[in-house]
Amino acid sequence: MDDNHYINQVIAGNSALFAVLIDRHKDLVFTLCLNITRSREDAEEVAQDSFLKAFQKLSTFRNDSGFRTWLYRIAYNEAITKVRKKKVVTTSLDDRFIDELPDEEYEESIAGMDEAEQKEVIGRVLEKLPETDRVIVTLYYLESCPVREISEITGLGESNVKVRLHRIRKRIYSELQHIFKIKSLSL
Amino acid sequence: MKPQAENDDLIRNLVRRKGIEKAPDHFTDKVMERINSPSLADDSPLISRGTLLAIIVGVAAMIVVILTVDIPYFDNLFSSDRIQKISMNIFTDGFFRTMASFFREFSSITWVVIGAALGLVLIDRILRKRFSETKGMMIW
Repeated sequence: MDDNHYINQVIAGNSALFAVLIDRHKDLVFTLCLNITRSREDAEEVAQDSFLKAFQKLSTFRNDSGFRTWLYRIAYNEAITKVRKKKVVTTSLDDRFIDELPDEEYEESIAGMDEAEQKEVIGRVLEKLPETDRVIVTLYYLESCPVREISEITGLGESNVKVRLHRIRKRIYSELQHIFKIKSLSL
Repeated sequence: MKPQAENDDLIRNLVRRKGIEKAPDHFTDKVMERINSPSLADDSPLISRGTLLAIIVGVAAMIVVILTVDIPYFDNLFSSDRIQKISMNIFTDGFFRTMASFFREFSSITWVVIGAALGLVLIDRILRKRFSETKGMMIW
């Protein structure tokens, strides 16, 4: 059964079926919230608030953009509001190391790592990205969301999302370069 | 540099290696508990969209009836002679005396109409205050 079936049931009064929708989307909603808040406690609170808000506003859901997009937009806005209240300062990366290392060397270096090391490296790289860029990475690379959907979720224009994706790629390579340089120096 | 698609594959593989974060245990239960809690039930709208529409249509209908339907009472109330007389009295007798004599001639029906209008304004004020307190959670 698709989401719309359960949405109609919940609107008709069978609120217990909202649990099905939560189960389906909780992991990615939690991941998006974690991308922005950087704290598991805050992410859980924001994710819960997002589902609660979605439940309360379910009758206003128009299905123009799909339940998933609508829900993620709520979660994104809730998380951004939370972060702004806490005034979290994000670190931006510089691009000074861009293009210094050939692409093949990235792949060789990454291929030479075990799974845990790869996870650690990408974790460190993503940690240094601004929160909205981390959300874009998750939606684009993990969920394979099209640019149009990312634009609807984040409220950024499609061209802005494309520009950000380009910058994110450069930044990720820059940070990988930085990590590999440090690793080679330490050997 | 390599083509964008190949760069994307490298990043995609790394991001997928990291994977999605799992929501904490009992996450669904906690949300459902909050949904079923009495405090959330209190957030339900005080008046539904249909009721609000009915009130608006009712008030509009009342105004249309007063202004257009041929009822002798209203004809008398809003007749040009009467209005002209009141206007002239303002200059001769003073504003407050004119208004006092005007209101003295009101029948009980007029007072009901005025009372209903003031009541609607009051209800509107109270509802707006209640709605703003619930931080826009209402379903309109």
